[in-house]
Amino acid sequence: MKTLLTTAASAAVLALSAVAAQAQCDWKPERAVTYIVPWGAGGGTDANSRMVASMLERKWGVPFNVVNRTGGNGVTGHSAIANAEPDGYTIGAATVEINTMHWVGLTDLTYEDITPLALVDIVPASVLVRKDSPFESLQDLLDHARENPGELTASGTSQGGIWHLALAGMLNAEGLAPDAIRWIPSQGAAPALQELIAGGVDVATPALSEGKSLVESGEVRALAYMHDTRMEALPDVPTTKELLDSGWTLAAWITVSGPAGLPEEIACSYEAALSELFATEEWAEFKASRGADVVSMSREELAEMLRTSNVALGETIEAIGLAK
Amino acid sequence: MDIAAILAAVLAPKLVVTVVVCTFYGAFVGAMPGLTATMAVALLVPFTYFMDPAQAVAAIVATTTTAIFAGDISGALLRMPGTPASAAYVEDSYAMARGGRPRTALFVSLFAACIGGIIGVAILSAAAPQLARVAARFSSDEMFWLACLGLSCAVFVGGASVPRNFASLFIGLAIATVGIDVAVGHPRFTFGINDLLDGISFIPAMIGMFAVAELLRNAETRDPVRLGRLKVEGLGKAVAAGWREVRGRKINVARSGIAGTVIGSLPGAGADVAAWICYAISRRFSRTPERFGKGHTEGMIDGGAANNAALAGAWTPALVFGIPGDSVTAIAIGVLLMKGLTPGPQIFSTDALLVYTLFGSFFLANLVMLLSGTLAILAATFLLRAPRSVLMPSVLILSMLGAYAILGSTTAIWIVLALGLLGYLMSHAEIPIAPAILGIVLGQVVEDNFMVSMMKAQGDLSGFFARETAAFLGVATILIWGLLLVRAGLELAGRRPAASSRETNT
Amino acid sequence: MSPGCAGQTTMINRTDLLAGVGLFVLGAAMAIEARGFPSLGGMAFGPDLFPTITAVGLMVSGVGIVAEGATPARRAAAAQAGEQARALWPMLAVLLTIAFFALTLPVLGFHIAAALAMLAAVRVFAGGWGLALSVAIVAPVITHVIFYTFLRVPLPWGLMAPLAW
Repeated sequence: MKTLLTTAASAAVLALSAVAAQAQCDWKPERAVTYIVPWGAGGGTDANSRMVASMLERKWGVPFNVVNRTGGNGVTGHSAIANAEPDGYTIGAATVEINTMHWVGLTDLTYEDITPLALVDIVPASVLVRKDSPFESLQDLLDHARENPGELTASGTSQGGIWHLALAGMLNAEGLAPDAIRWIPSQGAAPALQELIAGGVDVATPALSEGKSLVESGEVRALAYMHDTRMEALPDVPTTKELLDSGWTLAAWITVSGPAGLPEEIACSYEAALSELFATEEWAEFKASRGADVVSMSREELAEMLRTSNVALGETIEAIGLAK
Repeated sequence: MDIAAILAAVLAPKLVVTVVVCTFYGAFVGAMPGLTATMAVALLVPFTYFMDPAQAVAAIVATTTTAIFAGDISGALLRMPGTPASAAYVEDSYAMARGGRPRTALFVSLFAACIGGIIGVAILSAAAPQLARVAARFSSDEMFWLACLGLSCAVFVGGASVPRNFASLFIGLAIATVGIDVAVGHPRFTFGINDLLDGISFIPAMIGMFAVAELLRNAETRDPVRLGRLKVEGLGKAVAAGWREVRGRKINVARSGIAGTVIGSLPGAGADVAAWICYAISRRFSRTPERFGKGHTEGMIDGGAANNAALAGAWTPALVFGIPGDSVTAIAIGVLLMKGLTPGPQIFSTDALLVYTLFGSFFLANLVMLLSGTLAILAATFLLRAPRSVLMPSVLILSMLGAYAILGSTTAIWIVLALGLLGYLMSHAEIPIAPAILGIVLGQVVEDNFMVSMMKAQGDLSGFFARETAAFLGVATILIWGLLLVRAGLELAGRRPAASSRETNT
Repeated sequence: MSPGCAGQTTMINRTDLLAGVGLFVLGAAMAIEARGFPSLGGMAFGPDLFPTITAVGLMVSGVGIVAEGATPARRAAAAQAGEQARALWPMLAVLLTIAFFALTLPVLGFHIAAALAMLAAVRVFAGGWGLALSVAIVAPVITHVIFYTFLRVPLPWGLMAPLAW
């Protein structure tokens, strides 16, 4: 509830400041805008971004064309956003990977190469097991992994991807070897969940929102939600904050961002437009349908979050030995 | 479930109008090279927001159904498959169109697609939960063998001698190795180009190897017959001939409709894999396998029925478990969630009417497709009576823009150029194209699943036979490969004349 | 790739020889490059496994095609193929047009690049100047409507950016 209130409050503040600043922040696109999504059609980033694009489109009356530039575990799409002309006609969905890719040596790209405009979604990880798994709680699982390192396997995304960090970081924070549960890379959450159900791996750690329908149908059990507060749609799943001494949490996030060097005028116009859209009933309904909360951050807060998240993820990656 | 209630829901004017409009939209997008059924659905998503759930589902179903068929239109007329699902039998439909029967070829496709689609949805509505239970238990071990089995289809679809089929397959596999590898994330053969990290994109590759290669072959000859002005037969004659062909192959349609549905319901194996496998089966059991690839309708009927049936199959794991069978159903799941509906076993009880409306719209879409498909065929064949000096440049610009549309980068055009040249050289050396395309499609699936299995079993190869289903599939694959090796040996020893077909070269 | 004037008496089908050797060299290059790929900690299989298998496959099928080229049937086929005359330059012109389009698309923008490419293409396929000009004007308009307006592919505007809508 508290988050909702603060969200609503900050949205209101933003809306006010948007009105106050209207004098300058009144740039609007005059032709089609390209909206780059670094991940494939059908995923969470894609769904959120298409929604944002269609709302911007209705607000400004020019097409916002979503382009899925997948590949290289996010490198291709993020490079396309960062390398675009900073004229406001190319924006995109920069995701948490902008802060992990450079640590694992995939690219030189960092959060400094983009201009964050708005936070779209926060997507915490989960710990999922099959319905007939012997592990009834996260503690069971961790105890077993501690005694039998390397016996269990887990999946969720590519090697060094965000859900891999979620698992390895949690093991590390709890004093286990980061590979006490071996990571099996996959091409995304859907094939990983398939492996989990088919008995190919013992654990999956994708976003809880991605495993939500399987949890509800009883095919998999959610042992933990890697967040401070429980998910409203699945209130029975305990958080890692409650369960673990280390209080480990990890969430991915999705932003709307432009390339670095976006003129202030354009950036603040986007910020104003997006905060207005995120305060609408339509957006709230959309988020609720996906079992997610409406989030909101000013550009300054978001930039600060990018900085701290970059450091924190860098430490995790260093600790679990994936840094290059 | 009350039949009257379902009928009322399916035949509600709003739903029927949605289905009709979306079949036209699907026909248009599907016929555009480079624009896949997935893309058509992705472009549809913003509109579904204004629809009620049943209408949204019907829109997606109608769009994909026609888009998959319409992929045959540019395939037959320009040798440029509109969607990957049409690639398996493009040589046949193209050869037939060049032989003066373009409309017959397309009506064969249309009728096969319609019946295949109806078989698919009939099975879907009857057996969705059972099918999904089998499919959902497939791990990387089973997927690996399944993909290997898919690769052996290459040798049956190619139509040339064994060394040439294998050469083509390995060229395709070589192309598939480009990009980041799944195990450690090492970029392979990317030459520092970011756009290649995800591998060589399939659509530009296909456009290059089929359409641009054909353009190049055309450019080097002054022979006006090749891709010149198309001879088009009368509509009535084409419909009758098309229907006769399909009617005469009841067994093929039934077999591929069923097999296509089953393959489509396997997660990750979509309409394109279904078309390839059923084409290969068709060739295997045909009394005239030597006529495949040269304008023979048998394989077209099998492939065309299979890919539309697979669309219905792909909904099975999506509806029952919320695991998408392909990227279209992945988007569809997102749309359902947006509407507050969670796919899963309980959807059959909580939202039964929606599920049955979905089945109903599938039936309806397949029937309406007969109308919109006919109009699309008429429009397309009319346009293609244009002279060679207009048609060829049109193919060129469509190829380049179709590729660009998929990748959003000029790298796509360079891929088209390079693979167009490769396809041209291959056809000169009489190396078939089809197995290479299959290699590109399945190469990554084989490798990903192999690596995942190896990492799970920590390098123990016997892991591939540890699970019952996997062991069965594995033994089957190895037996088939053994037979192929024997055949290759016999051919080389000269005891069997090498069937070095000239493809559509002559 | 012209097989030249290979007669009945040649020892081997020259196209097959070239294709086979080409595949072999390609496979060898791949195999050498794949040896530089990193290995997967403590396992016999790594990112180099599939490229290596593919490379060997290419080399073996290359050898197979050369062997096939030495069979009587293929030698006879070479003799027939040699009689077909081929024009090389229109083919090169098509390749150059594609390369030109890829290079100029981001700079000149879609409309100008497409118009120039169409102008060249119609000429290559023996259309007159009048036809070439009309196609060059009409084709970008049609493709703009289809791809940009209806299908929302973000085609670059390039030089035309000030006129963009």
